[in-house]
Amino acid sequence: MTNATVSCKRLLAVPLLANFTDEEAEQLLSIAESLDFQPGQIVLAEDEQSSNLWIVIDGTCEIVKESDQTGRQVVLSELRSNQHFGEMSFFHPAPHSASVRAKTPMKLLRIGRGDYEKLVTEQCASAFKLAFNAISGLAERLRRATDRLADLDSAEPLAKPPSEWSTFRTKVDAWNL
Amino acid sequence: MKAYEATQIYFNRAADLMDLSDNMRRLLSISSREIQVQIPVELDNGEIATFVGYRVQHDDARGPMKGGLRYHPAVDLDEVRALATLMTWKTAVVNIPYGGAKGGVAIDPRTHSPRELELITRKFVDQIHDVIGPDTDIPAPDMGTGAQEMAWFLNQYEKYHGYSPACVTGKPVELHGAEGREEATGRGVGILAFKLISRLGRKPAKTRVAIQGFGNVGSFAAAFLAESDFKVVAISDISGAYFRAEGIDISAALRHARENRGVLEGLAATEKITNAELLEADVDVLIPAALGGVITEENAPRIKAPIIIEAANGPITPGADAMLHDRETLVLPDILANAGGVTVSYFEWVQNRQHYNWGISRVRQELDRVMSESFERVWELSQERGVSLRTAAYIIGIGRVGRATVLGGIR
Repeated sequence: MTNATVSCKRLLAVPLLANFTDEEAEQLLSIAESLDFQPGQIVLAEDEQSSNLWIVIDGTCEIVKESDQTGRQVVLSELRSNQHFGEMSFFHPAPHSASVRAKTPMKLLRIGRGDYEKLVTEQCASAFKLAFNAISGLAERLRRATDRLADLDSAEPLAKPPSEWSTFRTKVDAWNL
Repeated sequence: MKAYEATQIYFNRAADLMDLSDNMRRLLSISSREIQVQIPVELDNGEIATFVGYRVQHDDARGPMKGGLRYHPAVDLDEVRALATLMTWKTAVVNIPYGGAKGGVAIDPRTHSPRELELITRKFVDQIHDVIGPDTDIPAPDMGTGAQEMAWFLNQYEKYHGYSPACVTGKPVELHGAEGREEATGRGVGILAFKLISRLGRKPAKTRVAIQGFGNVGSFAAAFLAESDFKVVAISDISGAYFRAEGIDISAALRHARENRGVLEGLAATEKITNAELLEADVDVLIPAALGGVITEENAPRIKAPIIIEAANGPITPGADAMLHDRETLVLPDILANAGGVTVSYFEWVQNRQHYNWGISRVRQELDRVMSESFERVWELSQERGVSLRTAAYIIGIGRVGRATVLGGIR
């Protein structure tokens, strides 16, 4: 659990740090904390609140949600190294919509909101670039979600079963009376 | 079993084959409108009697609703609803542009004077004239009513709505009635009997027929069949049944009834038997043309006739129908067999609206065409699908009403 376990060079491979200089990566690393998790350990719990941005350095974790009807857990997706999570709560505090659970032994980098604000106050370029990159990712996800909604909307008439009225009509017509 | 439940058995049997959903069956089954009215009348003896009248308008997808007006003590809402439903399928089977309706008053007409019957009829019109009419619902004679009641009906309706001869059918020929209307149901039965035995490769002269009932239907059916060379060996009325193995002289029987207040009692050159014996007689064709429910699970096993033509409405109970079907007795169902009446009622209505009298030969010719075409369609479907004539007729009726309903929409 020391910063030394993650090198500056390793961090530059993370897309969230695109366009970072070595110096900016060092700034970020100075406020980040490196944490290890064992398989099955919960990183974030659904419905709880925290404001941290997480970067996967090594290993795989699962995004898990409890199903409303049955109470069973459903795995929504997996995150691998160089991906990040927690940015929604990081920028807009709200209970987590799903849990994150380690699937394999993991190494994660945690950036706390309070520490990040220190970078902002000091007007570090790293704070600005991190926000910019995170927002780009969020914007892309929002656009994909919007497109999917539009698809669902236009696909609905096709997906609907034929009406009772038209079924009846077909059946009556079939007798050719 | 109540009358409506019985008709729904046949409806559902056809609907099962047509694979119709419960919701669509409900749409096709539930009456469009059901009316119960009070008919208060001062009787000849000064008493005030209050009778109950009904009009059930079942379905109007194919046109104005049409159906008889029955005066009988057993009339109730269930029976009227059942008969109204039958009218919907019947008008569709013979493909005339009408829906189905039925009405009735729970009285025994034989216990009322003509003055009382006139008052009852006029009072009934007072109560329902707003919801009937030439383009809405057109009553006609049925059990216990005839041309005289229709004349009173017309006269009372016209007091409200002005000249409207097409508001009711079965009127006296002298008062916008149609020649050939009185004989129509019986004649239709006769036409169908001829068609059916021809299909089976039989000759009329070798076909023995027993007819139960010698009234508006049975007497005209007997006359037509005798003229067409059939051997009518048994006839009956309330006085009993009359049998002659070599064939009864029907014109003599008609004359006898005319001269004896409509009753066959004392008919010469015949052997008197019971009505039960007539039903079970060794004949080729049995025509129940009187009451409903005369062939039951009790007497069905003893019925010998291989062909039964339902001239009355519902003369065979559903249980007996199943037994006869298993024995391969050919049953020509009521909704086709007695549709000649409503068909000529339609011709009367058309003539009223055309202000043109067709004359008896055109009426008979058109009746022959309608009955023949309807029979052929029912027969073909029954052969194609391997179903009874009754189920075939119901499928045609339901299918045509269903098609009109879908085309018109419900919005």
